[in-house]
Order: sequence, then C-alpha cells, then structure tokens
Amino acid sequence: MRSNGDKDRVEPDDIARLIAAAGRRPAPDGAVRESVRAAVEQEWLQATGRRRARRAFRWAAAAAIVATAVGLGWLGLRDGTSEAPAPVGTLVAARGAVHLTSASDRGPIVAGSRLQAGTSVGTGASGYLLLTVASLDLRVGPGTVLDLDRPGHVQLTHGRIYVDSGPEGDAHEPLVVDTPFGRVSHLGTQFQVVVRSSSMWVGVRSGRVSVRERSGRHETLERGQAAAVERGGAMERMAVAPYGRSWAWVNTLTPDFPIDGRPLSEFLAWYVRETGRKLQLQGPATQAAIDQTRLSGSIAGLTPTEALVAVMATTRLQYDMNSPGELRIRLRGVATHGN
Amino acid sequence: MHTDDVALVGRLLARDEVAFRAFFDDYFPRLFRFILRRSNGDEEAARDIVQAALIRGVRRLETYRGEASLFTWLCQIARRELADHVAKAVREASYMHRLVELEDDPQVRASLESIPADAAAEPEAQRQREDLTAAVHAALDYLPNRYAQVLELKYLEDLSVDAIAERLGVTAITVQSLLARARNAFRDIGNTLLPNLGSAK
Repeated sequence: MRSNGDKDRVEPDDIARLIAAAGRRPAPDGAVRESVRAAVEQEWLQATGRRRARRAFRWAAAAAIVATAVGLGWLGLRDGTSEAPAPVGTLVAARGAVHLTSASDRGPIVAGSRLQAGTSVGTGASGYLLLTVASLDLRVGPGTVLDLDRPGHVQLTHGRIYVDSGPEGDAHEPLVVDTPFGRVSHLGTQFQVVVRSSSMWVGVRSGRVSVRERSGRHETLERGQAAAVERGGAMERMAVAPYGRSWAWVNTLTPDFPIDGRPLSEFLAWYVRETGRKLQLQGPATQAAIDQTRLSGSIAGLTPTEALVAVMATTRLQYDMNSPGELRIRLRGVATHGN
Repeated sequence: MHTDDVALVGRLLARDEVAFRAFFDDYFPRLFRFILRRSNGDEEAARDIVQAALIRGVRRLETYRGEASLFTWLCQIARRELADHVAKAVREASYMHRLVELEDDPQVRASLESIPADAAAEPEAQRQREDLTAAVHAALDYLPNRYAQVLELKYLEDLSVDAIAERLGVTAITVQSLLARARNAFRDIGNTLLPNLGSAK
C-alpha cells in the first residue's frame, strides 16, 4: 500500500490497468440523446436569440422569436436536380420547444407547411406538435423522437403520440406506427402510444388497434383496453379509462374547432370526443334546448375544457362532471338526478 | 481561467452551430453519467434532470466566467436539479434513492468507503470492482474530452501512438504530448477518487 501523501501514487501502469479494467463508459441511449438534444438546442436558439435581440437586431430577433413560437425547423439548401421526397403530412400547430428537420431542405417549416418523407420530429420537455399524417390527426407529446419516414408510416423511437382518425365512418388512410418494441396499426380509432427506454404502452380510447410484438405475437385492443410491452418480455393486456390523466396531455394542443354558426350539439360531440367522456342529457327538454342553440364567436386557443366553460356560460344549460367519465347536461335550475 | 471553455461558451453565445454540436456531444454523456450515478441508475430520472440542467445552463451561458471548468459549472447546475427532483420525489413518497457521493465531497475517499454496501447480497470483491469502475469513469468524465479520448484509445482500444495519431488526425509527437498531459491529469484526479488503487487488480 502506498502512502496517502505520495503525489505520484497513480502510476502509468496503474492508469492502463484501471482504464482497461473499468471498460467503456456507458453511453446514453441514442433516442434519449436525440430527445434531449432537440430540447436543449431549441432552448439554446431561443436564449441566444433573445441575447441578440437585447444587443442590436430588435426586428430580426423578434422574427426569430415568432418563428420559434410556431416551432420552426430551419432547412438549408436543396439539390434542385433531385426528386422531391413524397409528402407525408402537414404541420398544423406547435407549442413549446419543438424541432423539425428534413433531408430535403427547402425553407422554414411553419404552420401549414407540407412535411416531406424523411422529416424528423423532436419535442422538448414542454413541446407539443399537431400534425396531419395520412389524413389523420397526429399529436406529438413532450420528450418525443419521431420520424415521418414514408407515407402512412411513422417511426416512434421515444416519447408519446396520439392518433385520431376522426368520427366513425370518416374515410382515412392506413397508418402504421413502428416502435423499438413492435408495430401498432390503427383500425379506425383514437389511441396513444408511449415509448420509454425499456417499454411501450398502447391505450385505446375508441375504435380498434392492432399491436404486434417483435416476436410476432399479435393483439387487437378496443375502447378501454391497453397493452404494455416490456423489453424482452411478453405483452400484457390491461384496462385503461378512456378519459382522465393518462390522456390529459392530448388536449394541450387540439385542432381548431370553429363554432361560429354551428349547433351546440356539434360542439358537445367534439368535446366528448376530445376528452373521452360520454354525454348524458337530462331529459328531452335538455335535448330540445341543445337542438335549438346555435353558437357564435370562437374558441381558438382554448383547451376543450376551457372551451366548454366559455360556451356553456352563454347558454341556458349547465353541466357537471361529477360522474366519472361523463359530461352531464341539464337545463339551468333543474335539479340533477337523485337530488 | 479555463480559456478553452470560455472560448466555447463565446461561440455558443454567437450561435455557432458547430460549437453547439461539440458542446452537446461532449457534455451530455458526461453529465448523464454524473447524474445516473446519483439517481440509483434511474435512466428516466437522469434524462429529465440532465435535460433540465442543460436547458438551465444554456439560459445562463452569459454568466459563465471560466473560474471553474465548464463541466464543473454544469455539474453544479445538475446537482441543484437533482436536489429538486429528489425533494419532489420524496414529497411524493414514492422514490427510493441512494445518492452516491463519489466525487462530490471533499472527503471523497471517506465517501467512497462509506457507499452503502449490499454486503449480504453480493461478494465484497464485486462491490469493490463496481466502485472502482464508477470511480474510473467519473475520473475520465472530469478530464477534458480530448484527454479522456486519448487515454481510452490507448488503454481500452490498445492502439499504438501512430494509430491514435491517424485516428485523431494529428502527429505522433502531438499524441505523445497529449498522452503525457492526459496521464498527469488522470493521476491528479485519480489520486483523489481512487483510494485503493494499490490493491486494484
């Protein structure tokens, strides 16, 4: 044993032996790295943009901040001789730290931009995206790494997405979600897929979803059902409420629902679809009042629940959500069942 | 004064994308391991904490003065994020944690020796090997990336000086100089972090 005071206690041979014995330093998972990179890079761009704004270029920096607010991915030069990649979707809206990049650089991506095959999507801890992919509403939650690699197909490496194919009967194109743990195919539905470093979870709010493990095992899930797939483990089925906390992130960024001139019944149908609740009307008088009510104004920028509060305040109806999973409507001044 | 780090931060503040890539590729894995050792190997927690720390770091780049290395500066931010995370988790009464005080405390050797041992569950030798491995990795993470890289090429990949020179695109003399400085730096850190070096096999 050497003395503690010996400055040269670690000899070159020791260094070689120690480093060899310790082996390689563990590296973070690639998906984790990319997810964090997207979040940090977005913040870095915002922070340095603000700094520039403070120093000199007020107008230029203001434009950059606006661009960041809508979640831009800056694209560089494009080879004009190459064939344009296939369109795979559209950016509808973004919030928070998000990043989009494409192999075919052709200008800034802004709300309304068509997305090409090969577009990569990353969201930070506060990032949300709303896309249209394969004619479906695709919502991307925080901490997600997603590749729109070809029409009708996305690769979810990490994070969470929510898919809504619209009300039953609406025509839609097929969409396949591939993950490190298996493949998820929608059969006309609302569902979400969550991928973590060691597991995948699929939950169904309405309709049916097909989940196929890498091993080939296959399950079909319906409303209120979910499945978890652990790395190297078997698929486990479970129940999931189609409303509540598991789905709360989905309503952070919802597609606009123009209410001006539309009947209240359509708004309520939209609300229950967005939140997974069931609509319960108290008696035929309530139904008649709903049928007679048309809306005006706008709920743009509001979450579904904020919109419900705003809209119902203008009617002679009132609501409660005291029963789990239900939205109950009645005429003002009329007691609820059981009261 | 850590002039290289100050220069890197200057380039980051100037929105140099190459600098950002170098910054992230260098510091993210090191910070991730730094927090992973302190979060009981919880990768999900480490990811969230490191992301929050790096975001906080890039917001505060203007305050970096170079008195400490950039890694040390980021580690200080990450420690605060970890403390917040643990405090929140404890409040939620659902988090079992074991903070590894490996290289935080001035009394690092005592801390190393006081790491809770699952002596009943695993052989002492295995525990010592794991501690030693963690300490060596921590020491490499504290080194400038170039130093750690050259040491690993030399002692892990067993490359010759000429082969390292070719890999790094520098001359053999530069590699020898780099190796000498890297060994000295590792020795300085290692003497602090590796209390039982003489008995390491």
